[in-house]
Amino acid sequence: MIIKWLLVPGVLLAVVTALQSRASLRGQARRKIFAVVTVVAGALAVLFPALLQHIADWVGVTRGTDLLVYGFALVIIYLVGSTSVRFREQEARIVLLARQVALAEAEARFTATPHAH
Amino acid sequence: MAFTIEVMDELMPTGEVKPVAALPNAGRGYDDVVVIVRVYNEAPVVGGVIAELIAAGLSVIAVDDASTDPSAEEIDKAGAFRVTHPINLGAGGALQTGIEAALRFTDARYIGCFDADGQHQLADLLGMIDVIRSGYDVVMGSRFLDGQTEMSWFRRAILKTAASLLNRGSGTKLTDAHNGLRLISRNVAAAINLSHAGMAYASELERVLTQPAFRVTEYPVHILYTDYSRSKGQPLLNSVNILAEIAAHRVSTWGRR
Repeated sequence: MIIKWLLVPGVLLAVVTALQSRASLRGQARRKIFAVVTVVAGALAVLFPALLQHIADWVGVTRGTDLLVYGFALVIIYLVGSTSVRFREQEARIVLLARQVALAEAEARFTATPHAH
Repeated sequence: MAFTIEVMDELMPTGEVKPVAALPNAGRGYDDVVVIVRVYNEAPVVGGVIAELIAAGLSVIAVDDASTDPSAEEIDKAGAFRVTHPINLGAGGALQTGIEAALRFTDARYIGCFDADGQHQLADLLGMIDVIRSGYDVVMGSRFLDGQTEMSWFRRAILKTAASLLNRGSGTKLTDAHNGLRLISRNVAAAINLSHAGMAYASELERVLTQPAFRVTEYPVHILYTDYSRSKGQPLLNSVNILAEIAAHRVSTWGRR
């Protein structure tokens, strides 16, 4: 069945790309392409309901709905991974920012009143 | 020892240092040491802890980790150089801030870490200073070198497990990885760049400190688990958090060393 050859690499690809999705230009472009593809695919699936079933039959899945669920699972795996990576990057940046604010404030205070302490 | 503000002018790449002010009690024998105290809501005790260090002739940088109680005032009253985080950054974040402040504002040769809750003892730190002056880069306090620290068998087991997990692969074997009492030389401090905000910073720190290039030794210290530190300090469940963080760190950095 073709679906097995699509899903297993699909999961791996979803995990790897998610964990690599730094806030790079390439990552942003990839996300935009992904969004456009999703819109087009959604519109096609609505306009031609039989299309999903045809694809499902071709790759060896019983129902078109099941195919949709598989796709959904891949998207969620990608989202969870990339969100956590982005979250961690954001956190690291906030830590650096807060540290610089703290050091600058201490320096300013100490320079202003050098003998207050 | 004088706190200095380094001139950060690109036209003066020599990094000229001009002293801004001298801390009280400078020049009594511990000129070359600055002690970092991480403070998070320790107002009842932090003043006494810092005052004791300063009375001994040590300079103190207190990193106020966005305390919501009057800790900052207590720090100022006690006479430490205070750096206040605008938001809470956790133990590792505060330690990194303290190290950067020490490197930027002081010319100390040795940088110590001391807990604000009064569980560390000044005598241990002074002993560690003697040891590092005899030619070491890192002196780690350890609770397990002699049997003087009383702790429950569960805490002991967790800490031992954590230490053995951390030790795998590093050059120097440490008996106690989660002791806050540490003393490092300036060149070691410059090599530290902690990214972990939580308690897992210890594993990151240990990897830096136990590089084969550094001369590392341990020093027996005695922790006082007072009622205050017990109520404030890490409850046993937090030990589980530490273990989980280390395990996750191990998995996520697996094969990247």
